[in-house]
Amino acid sequence: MRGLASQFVLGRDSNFEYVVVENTATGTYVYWQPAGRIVDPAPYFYDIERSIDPNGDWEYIAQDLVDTYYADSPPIVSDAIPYYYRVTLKTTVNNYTSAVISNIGRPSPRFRNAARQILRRLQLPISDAEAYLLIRKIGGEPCPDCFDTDLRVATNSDCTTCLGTGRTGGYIQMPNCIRLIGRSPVGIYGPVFDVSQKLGTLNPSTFKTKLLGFPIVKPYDAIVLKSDLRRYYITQSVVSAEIGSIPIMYDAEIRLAESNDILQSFTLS
Amino acid sequence: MSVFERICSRFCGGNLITPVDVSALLKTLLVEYFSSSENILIPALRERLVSESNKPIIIESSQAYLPDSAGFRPSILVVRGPWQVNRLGIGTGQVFNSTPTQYARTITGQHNIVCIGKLPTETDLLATEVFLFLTTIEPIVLRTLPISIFQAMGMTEIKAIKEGRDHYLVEIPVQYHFEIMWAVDITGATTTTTTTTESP
Repeated sequence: MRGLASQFVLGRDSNFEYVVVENTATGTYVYWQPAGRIVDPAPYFYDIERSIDPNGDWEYIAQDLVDTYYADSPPIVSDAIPYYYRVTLKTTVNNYTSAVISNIGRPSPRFRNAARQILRRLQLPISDAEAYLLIRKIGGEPCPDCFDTDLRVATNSDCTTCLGTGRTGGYIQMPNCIRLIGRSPVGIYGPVFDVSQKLGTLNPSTFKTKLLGFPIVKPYDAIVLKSDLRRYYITQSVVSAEIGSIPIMYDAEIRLAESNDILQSFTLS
Repeated sequence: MSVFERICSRFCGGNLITPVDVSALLKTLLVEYFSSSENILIPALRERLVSESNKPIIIESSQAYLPDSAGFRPSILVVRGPWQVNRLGIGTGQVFNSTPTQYARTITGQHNIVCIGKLPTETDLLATEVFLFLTTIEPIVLRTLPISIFQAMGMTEIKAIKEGRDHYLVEIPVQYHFEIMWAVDITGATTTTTTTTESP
Protein backbone atom coordinates (compact mmCIF):
# COMPACT_ATOMS: atom_id res chain seq x y z
CA MET A 1 0.00 0.00 0.00
CA ARG A 2 1.38 3.33 -1.01
CA GLY A 3 2.00 5.72 1.78
CA LEU A 4 3.30 3.09 4.18
CA ALA A 5 6.29 2.32 2.03
CA SER A 6 7.01 5.97 1.66
CA GLN A 7 9.02 8.40 3.63
CA PHE A 8 8.15 12.02 3.62
CA VAL A 9 9.06 15.15 5.36
CA LEU A 10 6.92 18.22 5.45
CA GLY A 11 8.28 21.68 5.51
CA ARG A 12 6.58 25.00 5.86
CA ASP A 13 7.99 28.47 6.14
CA SER A 14 7.07 32.01 5.22
CA ASN A 15 7.93 31.49 1.55
CA PHE A 16 6.30 28.12 0.94
CA GLU A 17 3.01 26.56 1.96
CA TYR A 18 4.79 23.25 1.98
CA VAL A 19 7.73 21.40 0.55
CA VAL A 20 7.49 17.63 0.58
CA VAL A 21 10.13 15.06 -0.16
CA GLU A 22 8.70 11.58 -0.60
CA ASN A 23 10.63 8.36 -1.11
CA THR A 24 8.54 5.78 -2.91
CA ALA A 25 9.14 2.53 -4.72
CA THR A 26 9.19 4.46 -7.99
CA GLY A 27 11.55 7.23 -6.95
CA THR A 28 11.98 10.28 -4.80
CA TYR A 29 9.50 13.05 -5.41
CA VAL A 30 9.90 16.63 -4.33
CA TYR A 31 6.85 18.85 -4.54
CA TRP A 32 5.96 22.21 -3.17
CA GLN A 33 3.62 25.18 -3.28
CA PRO A 34 4.78 28.76 -2.91
CA ALA A 35 3.03 30.83 -0.26
CA GLY A 36 -0.23 32.44 -1.28
CA ARG A 37 1.00 35.82 -0.07
CA ILE A 38 3.41 36.00 -3.01
CA VAL A 39 1.64 37.73 -5.88
CA ASP A 40 4.62 38.87 -7.94
CA PRO A 41 3.90 39.03 -11.66
CA ALA A 42 4.67 36.01 -13.85
CA PRO A 43 6.81 34.18 -14.81
CA TYR A 44 7.76 31.96 -11.88
CA PHE A 45 10.71 29.56 -12.08
CA TYR A 46 12.00 27.10 -9.52
CA ASP A 47 15.48 25.78 -8.72
CA ILE A 48 15.98 22.61 -6.69
CA GLU A 49 19.13 21.99 -4.73
CA ARG A 50 20.31 18.83 -2.97
CA SER A 51 23.03 18.17 -0.45
CA ILE A 52 24.16 15.45 1.93
CA ASP A 53 25.01 18.08 4.52
CA PRO A 54 22.60 20.90 5.29
CA ASN A 55 25.55 23.11 6.18
CA GLY A 56 27.74 21.94 3.33
CA ASP A 57 27.80 22.43 -0.41
CA TRP A 58 24.58 22.44 -2.37
CA GLU A 59 24.18 21.00 -5.82
CA TYR A 60 21.56 22.14 -8.33
CA ILE A 61 19.60 19.14 -9.48
CA ALA A 62 17.08 21.11 -11.51
CA GLN A 63 16.84 24.72 -12.57
CA ASP A 64 14.20 26.97 -14.09
CA LEU A 65 11.39 24.49 -13.56
CA VAL A 66 7.87 25.66 -14.32
CA ASP A 67 6.14 22.69 -12.69
CA THR A 68 5.92 22.45 -8.92
CA TYR A 69 7.15 18.91 -8.57
CA TYR A 70 10.30 17.10 -9.49
CA ALA A 71 11.16 13.41 -9.67
CA ASP A 72 14.65 12.97 -8.30
CA SER A 73 17.02 10.01 -8.55
CA PRO A 74 19.43 10.33 -5.64
CA PRO A 75 22.49 8.06 -5.86
CA ILE A 76 21.53 5.99 -2.80
CA VAL A 77 18.14 5.69 -1.13
CA SER A 78 18.68 4.50 2.40
CA ASP A 79 17.58 5.37 5.89
CA ALA A 80 21.25 5.74 6.77
CA ILE A 81 22.03 8.45 4.24
CA PRO A 82 19.74 11.43 4.36
CA TYR A 83 19.56 13.91 1.55
CA TYR A 84 18.62 17.50 2.10
CA TYR A 85 16.66 19.61 -0.34
CA ARG A 86 15.69 23.22 -0.72
CA VAL A 87 13.62 24.99 -3.33
CA THR A 88 14.03 28.53 -4.60
CA LEU A 89 11.25 30.43 -6.32
CA LYS A 90 12.56 33.02 -8.76
CA THR A 91 10.26 35.82 -9.92
CA THR A 92 11.00 39.04 -11.73
CA VAL A 93 10.82 40.81 -8.37
CA ASN A 94 12.57 38.58 -5.88
CA ASN A 95 13.95 35.15 -4.99
CA TYR A 96 12.31 33.09 -2.25
CA THR A 97 14.12 30.10 -0.78
CA SER A 98 12.46 27.38 1.29
CA ALA A 99 13.67 25.92 4.55
CA VAL A 100 15.86 22.83 4.30
CA ILE A 101 13.95 19.54 4.01
CA SER A 102 15.30 16.04 4.49
CA ASN A 103 14.05 12.89 2.78
CA ILE A 104 14.43 10.83 5.97
CA GLY A 105 11.40 10.82 8.17
CA ARG A 106 10.59 7.16 8.65
CA PRO A 107 8.34 6.53 11.63
CA SER A 108 9.17 3.97 14.29
CA PRO A 109 8.28 0.26 13.81
CA ARG A 110 5.54 0.60 16.42
CA PHE A 111 3.88 3.40 14.50
CA ARG A 112 4.26 1.52 11.22
CA ASN A 113 2.57 -1.57 12.68
CA ALA A 114 -0.27 0.51 14.01
CA ALA A 115 -0.74 2.08 10.61
CA ARG A 116 -0.73 -1.30 8.88
CA GLN A 117 -3.46 -2.50 11.22
CA ILE A 118 -5.62 0.48 10.40
CA LEU A 119 -5.16 0.03 6.70
CA ARG A 120 -5.70 -3.74 6.74
CA ARG A 121 -9.00 -3.24 8.50
CA LEU A 122 -10.04 -0.89 5.75
CA GLN A 123 -9.20 -3.41 3.07
CA LEU A 124 -11.79 -5.85 4.40
CA PRO A 125 -14.90 -4.19 3.10
CA ILE A 126 -16.21 -2.56 0.85
CA SER A 127 -15.60 -0.63 -2.28
CA ASP A 128 -12.44 1.02 -3.37
CA ALA A 129 -11.21 2.96 -6.35
CA GLU A 130 -8.07 4.65 -7.52
CA ALA A 131 -8.01 8.29 -8.39
CA TYR A 132 -5.70 10.96 -9.65
CA LEU A 133 -5.23 13.76 -7.16
CA LEU A 134 -5.29 17.32 -8.42
CA ILE A 135 -3.84 19.72 -5.88
CA ARG A 136 -5.37 23.16 -6.10
CA LYS A 137 -2.71 25.82 -6.38
CA ILE A 138 -2.56 28.13 -3.40
CA GLY A 139 0.44 30.06 -4.60
CA GLY A 140 2.15 30.53 -7.91
CA GLU A 141 1.73 32.87 -10.83
CA PRO A 142 -1.35 35.07 -10.38
CA CYS A 143 -3.86 34.61 -13.19
CA PRO A 144 -3.36 37.45 -15.70
CA ASP A 145 -7.02 37.28 -16.74
CA CYS A 146 -9.12 37.23 -13.59
CA PHE A 147 -6.96 37.70 -10.47
CA ASP A 148 -7.71 40.80 -8.41
CA THR A 149 -4.28 41.62 -6.97
CA ASP A 150 -5.69 43.98 -4.34
CA LEU A 151 -8.10 41.41 -2.94
CA ARG A 152 -5.96 38.40 -3.92
CA VAL A 153 -8.99 36.55 -5.25
CA ALA A 154 -10.15 35.11 -8.54
CA THR A 155 -13.18 36.74 -10.08
CA ASN A 156 -14.12 34.24 -12.78
CA SER A 157 -14.91 30.64 -11.84
CA ASP A 158 -14.80 29.57 -15.49
CA CYS A 159 -11.48 31.20 -16.33
CA THR A 160 -9.60 28.93 -18.73
CA THR A 161 -6.23 30.23 -17.53
CA CYS A 162 -6.57 29.49 -13.81
CA LEU A 163 -9.67 27.23 -13.69
CA GLY A 164 -11.21 29.56 -11.14
CA THR A 165 -8.34 29.29 -8.65
CA GLY A 166 -6.64 32.63 -9.33
CA ARG A 167 -3.31 30.92 -10.06
CA THR A 168 -2.20 30.10 -13.57
CA GLY A 169 -2.76 26.45 -14.38
CA GLY A 170 -5.15 25.98 -11.49
CA TYR A 171 -4.18 22.49 -10.35
CA ILE A 172 -1.15 20.25 -10.13
CA GLN A 173 -1.63 16.59 -10.95
CA MET A 174 0.32 14.47 -8.49
CA PRO A 175 2.46 11.76 -10.04
CA ASN A 176 0.88 8.85 -8.14
CA CYS A 177 -2.71 7.83 -7.54
CA ILE A 178 -4.56 7.86 -4.25
CA ARG A 179 -7.17 5.32 -3.10
CA LEU A 180 -10.76 5.96 -2.14
CA ILE A 181 -12.53 3.57 0.20
CA GLY A 182 -16.23 3.85 0.90
CA ARG A 183 -19.21 1.80 1.96
CA SER A 184 -20.72 2.10 -1.48
CA PRO A 185 -19.30 2.77 -4.92
CA VAL A 186 -18.76 6.37 -5.83
CA GLY A 187 -21.25 7.18 -8.53
CA ILE A 188 -23.68 9.89 -9.46
CA TYR A 189 -27.26 10.61 -8.58
CA GLY A 190 -29.75 11.77 -11.12
CA PRO A 191 -30.83 15.39 -11.14
CA VAL A 192 -33.45 16.41 -8.60
CA PHE A 193 -35.82 19.31 -8.29
CA ASP A 194 -35.13 21.52 -5.30
CA VAL A 195 -38.37 21.29 -3.36
CA SER A 196 -37.66 24.57 -1.58
CA GLN A 197 -37.89 26.10 -5.08
CA LYS A 198 -34.94 28.31 -4.45
CA LEU A 199 -31.99 26.64 -6.12
CA GLY A 200 -33.55 25.23 -9.29
CA THR A 201 -32.55 21.79 -10.54
CA LEU A 202 -29.68 20.22 -8.66
CA ASN A 203 -27.30 17.33 -8.94
CA PRO A 204 -26.58 16.43 -5.32
CA SER A 205 -23.88 13.81 -5.88
CA THR A 206 -22.05 14.04 -2.57
CA PHE A 207 -20.13 11.11 -1.10
CA LYS A 208 -18.29 10.29 2.08
CA THR A 209 -15.11 8.39 1.53
CA LYS A 210 -11.78 7.60 3.06
CA LEU A 211 -8.73 8.72 1.16
CA LEU A 212 -5.53 6.79 1.59
CA GLY A 213 -2.15 8.02 0.64
CA PHE A 214 -0.11 11.06 0.39
CA PRO A 215 0.31 13.99 0.00
CA ILE A 216 -1.74 16.34 2.10
CA VAL A 217 -5.32 16.42 0.90
CA LYS A 218 -7.14 19.70 1.42
CA PRO A 219 -10.62 20.97 0.72
CA TYR A 220 -10.88 22.42 -2.81
CA ASP A 221 -8.40 19.91 -4.16
CA ALA A 222 -9.96 17.61 -6.73
CA ILE A 223 -9.84 13.98 -7.72
CA VAL A 224 -10.40 12.21 -11.00
CA LEU A 225 -11.53 8.60 -10.80
CA LYS A 226 -9.18 6.42 -12.77
CA SER A 227 -11.96 4.08 -13.88
CA ASP A 228 -14.20 6.54 -15.68
CA LEU A 229 -12.43 9.92 -15.34
CA ARG A 230 -15.33 11.49 -13.44
CA ARG A 231 -14.17 14.55 -11.56
CA TYR A 232 -14.99 15.47 -7.99
CA TYR A 233 -14.16 18.34 -5.70
CA ILE A 234 -12.97 17.49 -2.21
CA THR A 235 -15.15 19.65 0.00
CA GLN A 236 -14.11 18.35 3.42
CA SER A 237 -11.08 16.48 4.60
CA VAL A 238 -10.13 15.51 8.12
CA VAL A 239 -7.09 13.44 9.03
CA SER A 240 -8.47 10.30 10.67
CA ALA A 241 -5.22 8.36 11.08
CA GLU A 242 -1.65 9.44 11.24
CA ILE A 243 1.69 7.95 12.10
CA GLY A 244 4.33 10.10 13.66
CA SER A 245 2.33 13.23 12.79
CA ILE A 246 2.21 12.18 9.15
CA PRO A 247 -1.31 11.68 7.82
CA ILE A 248 -2.04 8.33 6.21
CA MET A 249 -5.81 8.46 5.96
CA TYR A 250 -8.46 11.14 5.57
CA ASP A 251 -12.20 11.15 6.06
CA ALA A 252 -13.35 13.21 3.15
CA GLU A 253 -16.47 14.47 1.46
CA ILE A 254 -16.39 14.70 -2.30
CA ARG A 255 -18.88 16.28 -4.67
CA LEU A 256 -19.28 15.65 -8.36
CA ALA A 257 -18.23 18.56 -10.55
CA GLU A 258 -21.01 19.56 -12.93
CA SER A 259 -20.64 18.57 -16.56
CA ASN A 260 -19.96 22.18 -17.57
CA ASP A 261 -17.52 22.81 -14.74
CA ILE A 262 -14.17 24.23 -15.71
CA LEU A 263 -12.50 21.33 -13.87
CA GLN A 264 -13.56 19.13 -16.79
CA SER A 265 -11.13 21.04 -19.00
CA PHE A 266 -8.08 20.11 -16.93
CA THR A 267 -5.87 17.90 -19.08
CA LEU A 268 -4.52 14.84 -17.30
CA SER A 269 -0.95 13.88 -17.99
CA MET B 1 -43.13 41.92 -32.01
CA SER B 2 -40.12 42.34 -29.75
CA VAL B 3 -39.54 40.09 -26.78
CA PHE B 4 -40.35 42.97 -24.47
CA GLU B 5 -43.63 43.71 -26.29
CA ARG B 6 -44.57 40.06 -26.12
CA ILE B 7 -43.97 39.85 -22.40
CA CYS B 8 -45.82 43.12 -21.88
CA SER B 9 -48.86 41.72 -23.65
CA ARG B 10 -49.28 39.26 -20.77
CA PHE B 11 -49.95 42.19 -18.47
CA CYS B 12 -52.09 44.42 -20.63
CA GLY B 13 -55.63 44.34 -21.96
CA GLY B 14 -57.18 43.73 -18.54
CA ASN B 15 -55.41 40.40 -18.04
CA LEU B 16 -54.98 39.18 -14.51
CA ILE B 17 -51.46 39.51 -13.17
CA THR B 18 -50.24 36.31 -11.56
CA PRO B 19 -46.91 35.44 -9.92
CA VAL B 20 -46.13 33.36 -12.99
CA ASP B 21 -46.42 36.46 -15.21
CA VAL B 22 -44.02 38.39 -13.01
CA SER B 23 -41.55 35.47 -13.02
CA ALA B 24 -41.78 35.36 -16.81
CA LEU B 25 -41.23 39.12 -17.02
CA LEU B 26 -38.14 39.03 -14.82
CA LYS B 27 -36.65 36.02 -16.57
CA THR B 28 -37.23 37.52 -20.01
CA LEU B 29 -35.74 40.86 -19.03
CA LEU B 30 -32.65 39.20 -17.56
CA VAL B 31 -32.10 36.89 -20.54
CA GLU B 32 -32.42 39.82 -22.94
CA TYR B 33 -30.06 41.90 -20.84
CA PHE B 34 -27.35 39.24 -20.66
CA SER B 35 -27.52 38.55 -24.39
CA SER B 36 -25.62 41.69 -25.41
CA SER B 37 -22.22 42.79 -24.15
CA GLU B 38 -23.22 46.42 -24.72
CA ASN B 39 -25.63 46.16 -21.81
CA ILE B 40 -23.22 44.76 -19.28
CA LEU B 41 -21.53 47.25 -16.98
CA ILE B 42 -19.00 45.02 -15.20
CA PRO B 43 -16.18 44.05 -17.59
CA ALA B 44 -15.60 40.67 -15.91
CA LEU B 45 -19.10 39.60 -16.96
CA ARG B 46 -18.96 40.70 -20.60
CA GLU B 47 -17.71 37.30 -21.75
CA ARG B 48 -20.70 35.56 -20.21
CA LEU B 49 -23.18 36.29 -22.95
CA VAL B 50 -26.28 34.16 -23.04
CA SER B 51 -27.54 32.84 -26.34
CA GLU B 52 -29.81 29.99 -27.42
CA SER B 53 -26.83 27.66 -27.88
CA ASN B 54 -24.43 28.93 -25.22
CA LYS B 55 -25.43 29.56 -21.64
CA PRO B 56 -22.47 30.52 -19.46
CA ILE B 57 -25.01 31.88 -17.00
CA ILE B 58 -28.17 29.91 -16.34
CA ILE B 59 -31.15 32.26 -16.09
CA GLU B 60 -34.27 30.34 -15.15
CA SER B 61 -37.28 30.17 -12.93
CA SER B 62 -36.55 28.24 -9.75
CA GLN B 63 -39.70 26.25 -10.50
CA ALA B 64 -38.33 24.80 -13.72
CA TYR B 65 -37.10 21.20 -13.74
CA LEU B 66 -34.14 21.26 -16.12
CA PRO B 67 -32.04 18.09 -15.85
CA ASP B 68 -29.74 19.16 -18.68
CA SER B 69 -28.42 22.07 -16.66
CA ALA B 70 -28.73 20.58 -13.18
CA GLY B 71 -26.37 22.33 -10.81
CA PHE B 72 -24.88 24.60 -13.46
CA ARG B 73 -23.42 27.73 -11.98
CA PRO B 74 -23.24 30.70 -12.08
CA SER B 75 -26.95 31.10 -12.32
CA ILE B 76 -29.67 33.65 -11.82
CA LEU B 77 -32.87 32.14 -10.50
CA VAL B 78 -36.21 33.89 -10.36
CA VAL B 79 -37.94 32.89 -7.14
CA ARG B 80 -41.49 33.88 -6.31
CA GLY B 81 -41.83 35.60 -2.94
CA PRO B 82 -44.84 36.55 -0.79
CA TRP B 83 -47.87 38.48 -2.00
CA GLN B 84 -49.91 40.71 0.24
CA VAL B 85 -53.18 42.53 -0.26
CA ASN B 86 -53.71 46.09 0.96
CA ARG B 87 -57.15 47.60 1.43
CA LEU B 88 -57.74 50.99 -0.13
CA GLY B 89 -59.90 53.76 1.32
CA ILE B 90 -62.35 53.04 4.11
CA GLY B 91 -64.87 50.27 4.72
CA THR B 92 -64.86 47.63 2.06
CA GLY B 93 -62.67 49.58 -0.30
CA GLN B 94 -65.61 50.59 -2.40
CA VAL B 95 -65.02 52.89 -5.37
CA PHE B 96 -67.07 56.02 -4.80
CA ASN B 97 -70.08 56.50 -7.05
CA SER B 98 -69.35 53.49 -9.24
CA THR B 99 -72.22 51.65 -10.87
CA PRO B 100 -72.32 48.71 -10.55
CA THR B 101 -70.42 49.03 -7.29
CA GLN B 102 -66.73 48.43 -7.72
CA TYR B 103 -64.11 47.56 -5.15
CA ALA B 104 -60.38 48.05 -5.21
CA ARG B 105 -57.26 46.68 -3.56
CA THR B 106 -53.54 46.95 -4.14
CA ILE B 107 -51.40 43.88 -4.25
CA THR B 108 -47.85 44.12 -3.00
CA GLY B 109 -45.78 41.30 -4.38
CA GLN B 110 -42.20 40.26 -4.12
CA HIS B 111 -39.91 38.15 -6.23
CA ASN B 112 -36.37 37.28 -5.22
CA ILE B 113 -33.62 37.14 -7.77
CA VAL B 114 -31.13 34.58 -6.48
CA CYS B 115 -27.63 34.92 -7.88
CA ILE B 116 -25.44 31.84 -7.30
CA GLY B 117 -21.77 31.65 -8.21
CA LYS B 118 -18.80 29.41 -7.60
CA LEU B 119 -16.64 32.15 -6.13
CA PRO B 120 -17.65 34.80 -3.60
CA THR B 121 -16.31 37.67 -5.69
CA GLU B 122 -17.92 36.37 -8.84
CA THR B 123 -21.26 36.10 -7.03
CA ASP B 124 -20.93 39.64 -5.74
CA LEU B 125 -20.19 40.99 -9.20
CA LEU B 126 -23.06 39.07 -10.77
CA ALA B 127 -25.52 40.22 -8.12
CA THR B 128 -24.37 43.82 -8.50
CA GLU B 129 -24.90 43.70 -12.24
CA VAL B 130 -28.40 42.28 -11.81
CA PHE B 131 -29.23 44.78 -9.09
CA LEU B 132 -28.10 47.73 -11.20
CA PHE B 133 -30.03 46.44 -14.20
CA LEU B 134 -33.25 46.02 -12.25
CA THR B 135 -32.82 49.49 -10.78
CA THR B 136 -32.24 51.13 -14.16
CA ILE B 137 -35.09 49.29 -15.90
CA GLU B 138 -37.60 50.56 -13.33
CA PRO B 139 -38.82 53.64 -15.29
CA ILE B 140 -39.43 51.53 -18.41
CA VAL B 141 -41.39 48.90 -16.51
CA LEU B 142 -43.54 51.52 -14.81
CA ARG B 143 -44.17 53.34 -18.08
CA THR B 144 -45.08 50.21 -20.00
CA LEU B 145 -46.83 47.87 -17.61
CA PRO B 146 -49.85 48.30 -15.33
CA ILE B 147 -47.61 48.27 -12.28
CA SER B 148 -47.36 51.27 -9.98
CA ILE B 149 -44.18 50.41 -8.11
CA PHE B 150 -41.32 48.21 -9.28
CA GLN B 151 -38.20 48.33 -7.20
CA ALA B 152 -35.11 46.26 -6.56
CA MET B 153 -34.91 46.67 -2.81
CA GLY B 154 -31.23 45.87 -2.31
CA MET B 155 -28.90 42.91 -2.01
CA THR B 156 -28.57 40.47 0.87
CA GLU B 157 -25.22 39.53 2.35
CA ILE B 158 -23.36 36.72 0.67
CA LYS B 159 -24.10 33.21 1.97
CA ALA B 160 -22.33 29.92 1.36
CA ILE B 161 -24.40 26.99 0.16
CA LYS B 162 -23.40 23.35 0.16
CA GLU B 163 -23.17 22.43 -3.48
CA GLY B 164 -20.34 21.97 -5.96
CA ARG B 165 -17.04 23.16 -4.54
CA ASP B 166 -19.02 25.31 -2.09
CA HIS B 167 -21.06 27.92 -3.87
CA TYR B 168 -22.26 31.36 -2.85
CA LEU B 169 -25.60 33.07 -3.00
CA VAL B 170 -26.89 36.64 -2.96
CA GLU B 171 -30.59 37.50 -3.10
CA ILE B 172 -32.10 40.60 -4.62
CA PRO B 173 -35.69 41.21 -3.46
CA VAL B 174 -37.81 42.96 -6.07
CA GLN B 175 -41.04 44.53 -4.87
CA TYR B 176 -43.94 45.63 -7.03
CA HIS B 177 -47.43 47.00 -6.52
CA PHE B 178 -50.45 46.93 -8.74
CA GLU B 179 -54.15 47.57 -8.26
CA ILE B 180 -57.09 45.33 -8.87
CA MET B 181 -60.73 46.44 -9.19
CA TRP B 182 -63.80 44.29 -9.35
CA ALA B 183 -67.54 44.30 -9.13
CA VAL B 184 -69.59 41.57 -7.57
CA ASP B 185 -73.07 40.67 -8.72
CA ILE B 186 -74.52 38.38 -6.09
CA THR B 187 -77.78 37.77 -7.93
CA GLY B 188 -76.14 36.80 -11.17
CA ALA B 189 -73.32 35.04 -9.29
CA THR B 190 -70.68 36.61 -11.55
CA THR B 191 -67.54 38.53 -10.70
CA THR B 192 -65.67 40.84 -13.01
CA THR B 193 -62.08 41.69 -12.16
CA THR B 194 -59.89 44.18 -13.95
CA THR B 195 -56.37 45.32 -13.35
CA THR B 196 -55.56 48.98 -13.72
CA THR B 197 -52.97 51.54 -12.83
CA GLU B 198 -55.60 54.25 -12.53
CA SER B 199 -56.51 55.44 -9.07
CA PRO B 200 -59.99 54.29 -8.16
